[in-house]
Parts: sequence; structure tokens; C-alpha cells
Amino acid sequence: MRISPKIAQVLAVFLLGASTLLTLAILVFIIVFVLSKGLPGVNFEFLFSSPKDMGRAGGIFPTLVGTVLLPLMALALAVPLGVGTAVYLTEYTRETRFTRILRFGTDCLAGIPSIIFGLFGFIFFVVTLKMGWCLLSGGLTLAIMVLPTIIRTSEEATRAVPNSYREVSFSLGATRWETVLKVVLPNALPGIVTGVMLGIGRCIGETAVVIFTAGSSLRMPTSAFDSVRTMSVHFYILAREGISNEKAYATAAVLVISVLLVNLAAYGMMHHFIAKRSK
Amino acid sequence: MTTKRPVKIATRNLRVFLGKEEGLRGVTLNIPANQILGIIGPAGSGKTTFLRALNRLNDLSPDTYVEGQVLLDGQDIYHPSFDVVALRKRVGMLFALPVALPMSIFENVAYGPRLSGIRNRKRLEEIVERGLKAAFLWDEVKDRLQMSGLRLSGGQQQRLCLARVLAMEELEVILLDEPCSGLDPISTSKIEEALTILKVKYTIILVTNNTKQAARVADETAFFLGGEMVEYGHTGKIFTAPDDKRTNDYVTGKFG
Amino acid sequence: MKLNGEKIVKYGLITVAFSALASLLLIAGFILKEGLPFMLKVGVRDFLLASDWDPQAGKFGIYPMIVASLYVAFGAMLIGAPLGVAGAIFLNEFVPKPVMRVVKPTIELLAGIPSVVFGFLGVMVLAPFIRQNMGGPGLSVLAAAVILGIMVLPTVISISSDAIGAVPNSYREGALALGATRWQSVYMVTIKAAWSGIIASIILAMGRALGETMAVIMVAGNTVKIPHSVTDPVRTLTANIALEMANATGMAREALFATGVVLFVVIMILNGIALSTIKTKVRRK
Repeated sequence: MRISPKIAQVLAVFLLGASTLLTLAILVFIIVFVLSKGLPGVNFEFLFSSPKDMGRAGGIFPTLVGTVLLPLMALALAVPLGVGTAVYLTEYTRETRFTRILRFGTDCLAGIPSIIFGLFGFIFFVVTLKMGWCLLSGGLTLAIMVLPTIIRTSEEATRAVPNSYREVSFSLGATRWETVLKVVLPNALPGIVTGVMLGIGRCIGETAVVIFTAGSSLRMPTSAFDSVRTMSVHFYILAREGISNEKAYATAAVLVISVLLVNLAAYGMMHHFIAKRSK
Repeated sequence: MTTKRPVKIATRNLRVFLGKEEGLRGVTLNIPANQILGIIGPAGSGKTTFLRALNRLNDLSPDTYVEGQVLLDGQDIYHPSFDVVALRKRVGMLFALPVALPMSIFENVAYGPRLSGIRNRKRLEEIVERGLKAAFLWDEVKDRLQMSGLRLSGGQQQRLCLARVLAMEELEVILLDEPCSGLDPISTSKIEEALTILKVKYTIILVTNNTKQAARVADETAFFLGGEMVEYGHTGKIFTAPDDKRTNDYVTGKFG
Repeated sequence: MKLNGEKIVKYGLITVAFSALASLLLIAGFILKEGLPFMLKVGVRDFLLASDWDPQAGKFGIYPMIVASLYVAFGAMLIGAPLGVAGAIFLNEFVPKPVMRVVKPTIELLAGIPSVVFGFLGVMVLAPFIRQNMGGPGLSVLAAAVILGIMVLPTVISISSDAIGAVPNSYREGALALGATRWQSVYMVTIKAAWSGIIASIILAMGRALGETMAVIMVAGNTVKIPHSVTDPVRTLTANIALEMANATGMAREALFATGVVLFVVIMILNGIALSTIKTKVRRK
């Protein structure tokens, strides 16, 4: 029994479309579900007061602080390293065996699962360097984790700067470094910022690495050597230990909204950047 | 009879290799100061390669190799001890497509002086005004200096590029690579007018695809073909009674 | 002088550029340092193929965990790959460009949802459903496979979509000009041309599924037993590491690092295969 091509097409489109819709529906459902169950529990007090009774009551403020400080620390290291690498690859060299090895290293680093980062951060920073579970251990480990993302996006951004700008700068008597600082980087900034936001998004959602390196103290951190808990860790603990479903959903809602906002900002910036270029 | 002018730039058997290709085959030329030298020739004849050798801009292309000498006021600019950065402040360049940097008009013109370390706001303002006036752009933009340079028209952008180059206090030579190729006749004539006035102070080398432009503006003209300089002399002579048959064929339009 | 400053900058940047490579070597080095001695002590075969995991009693067989990880990852691909590839084809070939430009980033955006949230929903929604309709505790291979399948969907869609989008229009037009329907041009020409990219996306997603920890801990049940049915609870390699690490000392800790070594090697191999598939394709162009 041969199906006519036209009918086969209708069937195929139907199946494909259904799959796509299913995918979309599932992902949308997840967000809607979490928000609907969690948002009612989110209010000013929840966000800005400390947890009581291991999180059964009260708010999540210290975890908010942790969620802000950890990515900040990670990026403080990853951005100079990542942008510097990108600038080197784009401006100071052409494709050689050396650069291929560097890229290979970056690609490999990008593919390492977070549990391995957690193991590494634990054995290296917490134990061997005796830093203990703290902000610094977490920040440094997360920095290595987001480094490939920063390198990739920064390199794309710097390569996108038209060569004519560089030529003009050189012809006016600028050195290569001056050209990078005054012409290339300012023009690559939107792309670099996009990468930074994507990196922030990854850090916010990361749980395994944080538990293994920053611990899970509920106290407000007062120094880089204090242990902190992030929202994702707090959420995980609330859920696993069955402490409070209500608080768990609320934390999840804040978590999801944060990640969505950061990623939306990143995409928005990317589109603005692309639109500006094509003027 | 023309007054004997000092030689500003001299090339001695200048050869430029782009990868394996010999883009320029042994060009020897004495360019007098304070006049306009026009360089004409078909596409691919080495005109741009020659021009870019004069401010060492071809250093930026990875596989370029230069032989021979280029003497600026008697000093070989390709000598290892010669300061390339200082060279480019003395020898400025305008490109075929106007490239306004994505900054305000003010910042565009101030870019070079800032690189030289000038920070004083008042001094920068003076320099910018002087540069824009010398490029015949001041009146059109004096009220909107903070506007992005990218929003100017093509002709205005090219004059902005000229102002940018003129703002360099150390400037002695201006190189122009087909600067009017994308411009309308009015903008073109504005730039040509500027050049005729500027040659009093600077030495100008103008590469052009447009033989009529060379005839209008250049004091002397050089004809390039296939990487060689075929003929060089007073513009009038090149266009009316050239020595070489190839020059004659080109200027009469038999090929190009 | 300015030019000396330039040299300093260049060498400074070279040093910085090493950071990614150096980190990689550092990580590999430490994980191997902690895990390899153990594997050699206990014997790789015993470690990988023994089924007894009882650190207190000095037994470190991770075979059940290996099986669990493989089942869960394969299950995830059974769900994620067809849905993902179908979605990629649909979005690239059968949907107007403006719609695709909105939907694709939306899906990628949703990929940013933290894994713990996925896991939580698995616990609150999926596991009870499985428990009621299929028996077992609900927290099971099936639950983990489904949740992971959903989690890798954006990866598969994104990379497959890029591969499909990279197929030159002339290929499609060639088929259509011969009288093919759009669907025929897709499966006869476009999919074939994008095949290596699609396979690469599946392999990469598989690597992600193998490496996923938090979501799996929450929904897989975490019992150390070789599963006999999809509703059995299992513990994957990643879950084992995360759960036992807190209380592990001495040999037990080394065993967990050894597990890390196994994971690291397997996932690096998978990623390597995937990346080289993409790269060969690009080079061939």
C-alpha cells in the first residue's frame, strides 16, 4: 500500500508539528506550574528576611545574597581571563597549532559535567588548598566552569568588529593594544556582556558545584571565607529533606524567574547588538 | 619651469610580496614635497600596495614581505629601529570607503591627538575645530559634534576622515586611496578643493581610478601597470604626450 | 617606549590564554590523582564489574551504578532524540522564519531552568503518576529517563537545528525542482546532509544525560540495585558520587573519585566524537 507523497507530507508535518508542540507545552508547563505554585508564597518578606527553623519558615535573604555574590566572584575572575584569551586569539595571532591546542582545551573544559567540577573544587580548593567550604572556593570553581562560555562569546564578539575600524586606528598611529582598548573592545562590549549574562544564568542554576565547594550555611556571609548557600542549593535541600513544599515552590519560583530574566536580558542584548550592526 | 622642490618621500627599488605573489616589482620614485602626486592605473596594478607601503600599513597583513627602501626625509622607514607608530602620525591615510569610527564626530577627530597624549579638553576642542575646518566640514557639523559619526552622509564621512588625519599635529604626508570612489560629484569636488589647498602645507599622494580626477588635481602623475611603475612625470605631459605607449593607451581609454 | 609595552601585553595575553587549558589539565590531574591509585589498588575489573557497593564493609563495586547510568541515559535519548530532531526539522523546514526566530530562542531560554527544578517536578508530578499507573515507588529509571529526556531536548533541538539550517538552499531547491514535495526534499536531501550534525547533537545530549546529577538524585530512587524493570529505583554514577561524598573518607572517598574518573573519561570520549563529527563536516565543505 503506497501512500501518495502528498498524504505522506501531511502525516509527516502533523507528527513533526505535534512533537514540537509537545516539547513547547512541556517546557511551558514546567514554568507555569512552578510559578503558579510558588509565586503566592513570594513577597517582600520572603525575599528579604532570614530563614527560620531550617527554612520551614521565614525567608531566603541569605541565599539571595549568596546567589548574587557567587556569580559575581566567578565572573570577576572569568571575565578578565576569558576576554583576554579572546583578545589574544583574535588580535595577536592567527590559526596555528598552538591556537588549536588552546581551543581544544577550551572545548574540553566546556564539556565537563558539573559533578566533576564539584569534585575538583572540593579536592583542590576545599581540601588541598585548605580553603574550606566558602565563597572563594565556590567562586573560583564556578569561574573555571563559565570560562569557556566567556571565551566563546567574547571571541565571536571581537571577531565581529569590522577590520576597517582596526585599519583606521592603526593608520592614525595607534599600537595594537591601544586599538584593542579604544576600538575593538568598546565595539565588542554588547557581545561580551551577553556572554557574561549567560554565564550568570549558568551559575544561578548550578547546584552540585556549589554544595561541594561553598557548603550550605544559612548564615549571612561576612567574608570571602564564609560558607554560603545559594537559592538553588536551598531549594534542593528543602525539597530533598522534605522540609517545606510551600517554601520549596516559592524558592523555585524566585529561582526560575531570576534565570529567565537573566537569559532574556542576554538574548535581548544580543538582538539589539545584531540590529545595530546591520544598520 | 617648475621650482625644484625637496624630495619628501623616495622609494628605491621597492618590492612588495603578498604571500608568493609579487605585488610590486621594484618601484623607484622621488616624490617632491608640497604637491599632489596622482597615481593612476587599472585595478590590480599595485597602486594600493604601493600606497600602503608608504605608511607600513601592509605590516598588518600576515604574509607580506618588503624589499628595497622607502625614505621619508632621507630616513628608511623599514629600518628595524624606525618607530612605526610615529611614522603613521606623520603619514596619514584616507581609505576608499569612508570609515567613521563608531563614536561621536568629536571623538573621531580627537582619536589621533588623544593617542598622542593630549588630554586637555580645551586643546582638544581647538584641534578638532581646526581639523574640521581644514577638511571643509566644520560649518556642517559644528552644532552637532556629539552626534555619531556614522550618521553623516558618505561625502561628509570622508571629509570627517580627512579631518581626523589633519588633526594630527605631526602630519606631513597625506595618502589617499581612491577616496572619492563612492561619492557623488559634489562631495568629490569638495574633497578635491580641500586637497588643492592642503598641498601648500602637506605632501599629498592620491591613488585614483578616475583619470580625469588626476588630470584635474595632480601636479605630477605616475602610471602603474602590473606591479610596475611605467611612467612618471608632469601631469600635463602624461596626459597629452606620454613617452610610453601603454600610458597613452590607458589615458586615452583604450583599456582600464 | 611604546613598543616594549606592546611586547609585555602580548606575553601577558598569552599567559592568560593558557588559563582554560591549564584549568583543564589541573582538573584532569587532580581527579586522576585521587581516583587512579584506587582503581589500580582494587583492580579496574573488580571496581567496574562487581555488584557490591558497601563502603563500610570495604566493597566498592559500581556495576549497578554503571548499568543505571546507561539505562537512564539511553532512556533519555529514546525520548529526547526523536522529539528533539522532529522539533528541529519542523522549526527549520515547515514553519515561517519569523515564527522560528521566536520559538527557537524560547526553547533555548527554557533550557536555562535549573536542573533541580526539573528534578523537583519529577518528584511532585511524574513520580506519583508512575506509582499510580505502573506500580513501583515512582522514583525510578522511567522517571529519571523522562525528566532527563526533557532536559536534553533544547540541546538536541538547538544543535540539530543549526545543522539543518546550514544545509545550502540549493540542495532543497534541487530536490523540489525535480518534483518532490517539501517533506520528500527534507527526508531525501536535507536530513541526509545534516545527518552528522544531528548525530553530533544526540551524542552531546547523551553526554549531558550521563553527567546530570541533581535531577537524577531527586527522581531515580537511589537504590543500589541492578534494575529489572523501568519502574525500579536505581542509583546512577553521578548520584552515587553526590550522595556518598559528604560522609566518605579514605578508601570510600577514593572510590568516588575513581567513579569520577570513569565518568570524566566516558563523557570526554563522547564529546570528542561529537565535536569531531561536526568538524569533519565543516572541513569537508
